[in-house]
Amino acid sequence: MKNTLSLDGGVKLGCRRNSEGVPYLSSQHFSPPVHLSKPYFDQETSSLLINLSCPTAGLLAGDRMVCDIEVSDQASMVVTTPGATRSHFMRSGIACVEQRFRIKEGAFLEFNPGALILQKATNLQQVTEVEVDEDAEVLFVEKILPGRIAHGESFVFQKFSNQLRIKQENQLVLSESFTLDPENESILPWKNSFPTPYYGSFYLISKKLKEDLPCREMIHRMNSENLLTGATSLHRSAGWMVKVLAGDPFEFKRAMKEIREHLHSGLGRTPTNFRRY
Amino acid sequence: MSETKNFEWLGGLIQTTDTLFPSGGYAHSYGLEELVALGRVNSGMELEEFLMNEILPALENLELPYLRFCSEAVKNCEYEELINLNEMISSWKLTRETREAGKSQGTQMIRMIREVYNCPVSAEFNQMLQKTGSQCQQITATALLRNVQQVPLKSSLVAWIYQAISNFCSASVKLLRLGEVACQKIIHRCLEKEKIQKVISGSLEVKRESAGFFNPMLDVASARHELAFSRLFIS
Repeated sequence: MKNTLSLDGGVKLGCRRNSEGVPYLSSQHFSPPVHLSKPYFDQETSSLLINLSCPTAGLLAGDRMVCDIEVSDQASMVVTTPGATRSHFMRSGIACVEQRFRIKEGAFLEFNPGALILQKATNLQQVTEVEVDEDAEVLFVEKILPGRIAHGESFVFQKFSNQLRIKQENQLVLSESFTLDPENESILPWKNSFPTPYYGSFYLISKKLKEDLPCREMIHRMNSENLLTGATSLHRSAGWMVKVLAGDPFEFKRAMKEIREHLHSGLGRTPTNFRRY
Repeated sequence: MSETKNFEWLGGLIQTTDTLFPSGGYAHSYGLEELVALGRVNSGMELEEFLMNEILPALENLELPYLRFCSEAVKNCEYEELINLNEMISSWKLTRETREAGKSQGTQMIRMIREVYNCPVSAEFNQMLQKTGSQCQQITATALLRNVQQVPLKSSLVAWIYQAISNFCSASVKLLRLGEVACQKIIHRCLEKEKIQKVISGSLEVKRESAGFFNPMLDVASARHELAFSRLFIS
């Protein structure tokens, strides 16, 4: 039965530079469950900061959310969310998130939303495609929590399927695909990593870092009793992937912030302040 | 139990899954060395849990389906498709060491196919692959090998499971000081009839778009192993 309250919407953005070299939204369209904040130009990093917010409580059964972003013309854009994205309880049906990012003509995109929280009985399907030109750069970040951990909710979602494909110059450089179902073994490697495991991953594509990631050893040295970090190069030496597993929220937040700074430094950039107050 | 009359392929399968066959697998731990260093796998019991809970499901949902997709492409002489699959495999091997391990073992296997068998299919595919500048992944090469040996699909899948499990156990002899008997018992339990049937039948259901498995712990371990201060294994 179709849920008549479900939403089919999202955001479509284009970002270019104006005659003065300042990035601006050359095209924009959004509809619930997404709302767009007023873009903010960060002079310090010459980046356009966009906050995508969710006017509804989060993702509900039957929702379909499309996020389509193109950055070109050497523009620099940072997209984030003011807080976590919650995928809520679903009695039946699923929610779908489709994300497409194209980074062209020497442009840079950082897509770094808040954590995705897989709440009790939720059923979410997420597909992400990233296409990067040879001379463009992208930093794509994922943070996933297996429930409202602070409330003692962990791994009681129904199903989460996630697909990420990254192409550089039309050639596949990363394909990550999995379906997590607490009813079977699919969650065990994550669940057994820490009693309350926080997961994050950075995917960095840049020709500047084809051969080496200078901060790699620093990232590996961050390891502690409650934190595991590992950085490795992608297929075709297109860039780097950094995975993070943490046993508590403070360690996780600190590690994600520090790694972000290291990666920006590797790109010769300064991280844009997300302006979350 | 009736014995099948069609067993001509069995000799070749045994020969090429035997440790004497130079596949290069003995030099790899596929992340296990770092898991041991991190204190995540400390004993035979923990190794068995790791194999049962993490490796068998990964085989079921990712490697075996891809071996099947590659076998079908070889059988249908769809070389372009096989090249695409080979690329896909390189892109879902997320860490450099596992990707490179697959490539070096695949390249070695292609060489052995050329040396041991008269296989025009492998030769033609290898030429096509070289033009793309890519290297053959072990899964792709295994599909070519099993095709020339005429090994039935399910038997190929069982052999792949055995090799994967025995590689980890072989590494654990050095890493965990496990004895040969302990290793054989673990391999035996991993290959129990019901378990194998579940893994094989599950893998046969997996479609291309849904093939995959999530093991961030092993990814982190494999990534960390690349910079490990001391190590016994290449991966």
